[in-house]
Amino acid sequence: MTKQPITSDNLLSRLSPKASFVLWFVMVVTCCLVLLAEFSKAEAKYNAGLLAALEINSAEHQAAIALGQNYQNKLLVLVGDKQLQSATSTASDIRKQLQGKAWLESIYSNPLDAKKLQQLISYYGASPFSYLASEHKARLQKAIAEKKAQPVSDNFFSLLNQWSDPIVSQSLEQDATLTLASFLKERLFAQSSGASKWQFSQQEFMLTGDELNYIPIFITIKASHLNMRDSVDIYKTLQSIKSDYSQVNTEADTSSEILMTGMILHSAAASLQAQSEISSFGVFSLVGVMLIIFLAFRAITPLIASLAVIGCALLVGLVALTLVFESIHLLAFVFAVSILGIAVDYGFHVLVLRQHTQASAQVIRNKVFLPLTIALASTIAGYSLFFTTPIELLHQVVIFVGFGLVGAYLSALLLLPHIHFKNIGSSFALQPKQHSTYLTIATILMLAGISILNFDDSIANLNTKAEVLVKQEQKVSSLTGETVYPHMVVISDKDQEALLNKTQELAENLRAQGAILKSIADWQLSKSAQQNNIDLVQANWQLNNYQDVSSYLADNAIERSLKQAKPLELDPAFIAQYTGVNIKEIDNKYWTALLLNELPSKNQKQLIAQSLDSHYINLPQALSQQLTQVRTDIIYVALPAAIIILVILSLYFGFSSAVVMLLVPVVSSGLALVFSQLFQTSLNIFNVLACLLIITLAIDYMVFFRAHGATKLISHTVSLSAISSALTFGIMSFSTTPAVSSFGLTLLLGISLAWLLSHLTPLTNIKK
Amino acid sequence: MNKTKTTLFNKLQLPIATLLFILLSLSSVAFNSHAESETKAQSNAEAIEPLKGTFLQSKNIKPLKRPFKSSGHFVYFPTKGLLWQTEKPVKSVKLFANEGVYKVDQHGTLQKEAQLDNAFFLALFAGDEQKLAQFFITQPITNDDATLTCLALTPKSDTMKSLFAQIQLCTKAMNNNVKLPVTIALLEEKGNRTDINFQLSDTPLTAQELAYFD
Repeated sequence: MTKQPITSDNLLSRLSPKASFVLWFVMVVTCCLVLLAEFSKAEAKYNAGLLAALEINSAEHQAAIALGQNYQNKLLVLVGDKQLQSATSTASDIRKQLQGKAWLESIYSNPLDAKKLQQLISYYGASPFSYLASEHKARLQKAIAEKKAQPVSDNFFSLLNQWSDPIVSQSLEQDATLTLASFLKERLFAQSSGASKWQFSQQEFMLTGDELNYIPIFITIKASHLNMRDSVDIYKTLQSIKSDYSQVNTEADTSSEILMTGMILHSAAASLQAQSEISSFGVFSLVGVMLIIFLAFRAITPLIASLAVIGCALLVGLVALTLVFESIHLLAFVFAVSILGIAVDYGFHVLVLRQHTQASAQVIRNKVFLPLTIALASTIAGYSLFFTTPIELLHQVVIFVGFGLVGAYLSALLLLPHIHFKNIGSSFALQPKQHSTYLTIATILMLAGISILNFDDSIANLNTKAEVLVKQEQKVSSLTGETVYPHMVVISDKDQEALLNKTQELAENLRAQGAILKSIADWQLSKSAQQNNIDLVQANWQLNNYQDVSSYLADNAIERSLKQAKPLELDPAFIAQYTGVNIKEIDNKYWTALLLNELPSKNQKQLIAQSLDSHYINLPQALSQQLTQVRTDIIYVALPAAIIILVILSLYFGFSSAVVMLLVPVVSSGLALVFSQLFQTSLNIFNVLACLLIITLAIDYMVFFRAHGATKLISHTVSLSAISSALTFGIMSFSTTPAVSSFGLTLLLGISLAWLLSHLTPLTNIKK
Repeated sequence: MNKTKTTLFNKLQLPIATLLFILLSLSSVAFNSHAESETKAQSNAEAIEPLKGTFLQSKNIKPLKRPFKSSGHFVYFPTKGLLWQTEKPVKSVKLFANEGVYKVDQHGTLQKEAQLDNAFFLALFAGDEQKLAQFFITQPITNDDATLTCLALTPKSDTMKSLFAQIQLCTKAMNNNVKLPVTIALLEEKGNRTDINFQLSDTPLTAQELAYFD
């Protein structure tokens, strides 16, 4: 029995053409004004790269991210040349070129330059006995134990004995006992030793490679300039300097190179990649969709009308996105290109009716209102499931697509029924013999194929890094003997002083097991530890161990210094500029990190696990585990959602129809996963997320077939929708970001299968 | 006129040819002798013996109420490096070798010191004007002793400027074409001054001292 097409009378259907247009126009103008106001407020914050799109909630991971921010504004450029002097001179030219840049906080090649040294001397010089070099401390302890002055005077004389030492000569005025000089020398040079290959040659801080000598340029970027636009500017500036330099040197035929590393460069490269994909996918999708519209209607008016629907969808989506989110992820736009395919569907449903009937705008509106509303509700419901994930990128996609579709829906209902054109156009209709066997075979195939599915949500497989930057990082890492991004152990405590003591103890224990690491406790001691150091100097003074040293100093110089000595106030933020390690307050606790040069060994990991409030951080692993968790959780969210959809469909079309209407989308998405597995070594969360969308889109097809019957007209409309959606999603499978390409591929396959099964599965013979 | 010239040229042709021949012969002799001297220098370098001497260092630093004086021995092996042994007031041994600077601990073990630069120290000690010109603007200084060559070295790079305002170096040529510093004065921006005086000694080299250069 053929069902009568379902129509409805509603407020929109009673609107006059003029009123409809005015309402649509007001919506568009309002959105434009809001968008203008939003853009004029401040620089919109954008971010790129998949890691930035994920949220991770545990306190230790949040601490690790916060402490790792110190690395986000740092860049290391290595200027390599056969001749050290040429490298030095090029590095100097580059520093001069970058000197005036608004984003630049600091730039230098020698980490021990006079200005930095002076800043350290003035901080520590306020109480020079608070901090002791370990070797000096051992000598002071030895002097007391052996009741000899020699270890104390040896330290003083050894330092003075050198031909020239900037640390000694600059710190002498603050501390003539050279306690401060010993401390600074040990700490500053310890930073450039260990496994590191940094050295001084011809008085330049440098690295020696197999063929070239390298002069470093250490760059710090102002925190206010870490946004996407400035990152891209910085990246382009450095690339341009690099290419200018390469050109000059190719002409001069000398062997040289410039290497660059820094997290900000990855963000910039990811941003440029995303921008390129947004524009290329956008253009291809738009041209493809326009071609389909033109073929379907062979007239300019429906083409313009469809573009108005798409434009309005993009506009409303963008307004919602800028109003809801402070920082927008560029990958959201890549995912959101799919809106073109779905938005144009709404236009097709109205325009096809317009094309094939001479009915009034009101009749057309009545006819499409219910299926369009159900399609809108189910698509938004499907996308809304993304809110259950901790992936903010997907939340942004939901907002953009959800609101965008409302814009498309309103445009399709308000504007399109009033369009007039007479061309027949090409038919995309297909009316094969429908039989339930097809769905049965597809179901069996899907069930059989599920066993071959192999999932791997490792974040490394989902994200891409610019290959050229990765290669440079590997080279820099091999040259410096240090990892570009250190391994992190986070330590916490409610009290800052206790945290420093705990950190110092763990750092010492790990070093005893061979770890090479950076720790804030090398530069910031708790007040009690500082007082112990002062007491040690005082004890030596009282034992007259400073006798030889005193003969060179002004009368009572040491006595005066000891009287004034008191523990220094902590200033981790100041020290973080030099060491890269800071203390952050998160969740009412203080957190710091030990930065390890290598992956901790089994014993070192055990040591960390045994230490109170200490955690070894493996952020990629934590994120991957979280994604796996989300993927399994989706099933628990999708099941109740499917039941709700089944109930809604049952109310309109009867239970039996509803079951088949739901089975087709479920089988399509399941088979899409099975077929995706043939193209991918492993599936991931984004393939699964694509299934949610396949279900919502496929339900639309089923609703149209069920509501209006399996007619050529509906086949034509559904085919147009499917082709346009498959085109816009399918193009995403060409993305260089595996997350996006996985999503696009499964959607392309799923939509194609849904289109096929919706045509092959009989619905009209099922009784309500 | 032309004819006269031609005649004159013809007349002078023989003496000119003779003169050219003599000049060429002389230059070939000169060339041979230069080549010979290079070969000699090479063989000298190969046969160069290490030099041992004493040093006296005096540091005048503003915050110190009296100059800091230290003394010790040095062994200079022109092709291999410099061994710097301070004896007073504190014992310490440093080796400035071609591969880097090493601190020699009490057990005789070498520990590389990444922060110290061998190239500059060796160039300074060798009085190698060509190498020193890479780092300094060099200017000769007049002095009373004709056997000494004295240079004022003003640093070129900012790094070097942060260490020294000027270095005054006086060297003396030894018998085997080797120069040895007699005095080095290191002048710093803040007015600090280090004077190092060198003197060759007859003390024989020990096997241990020589072993450092292997």
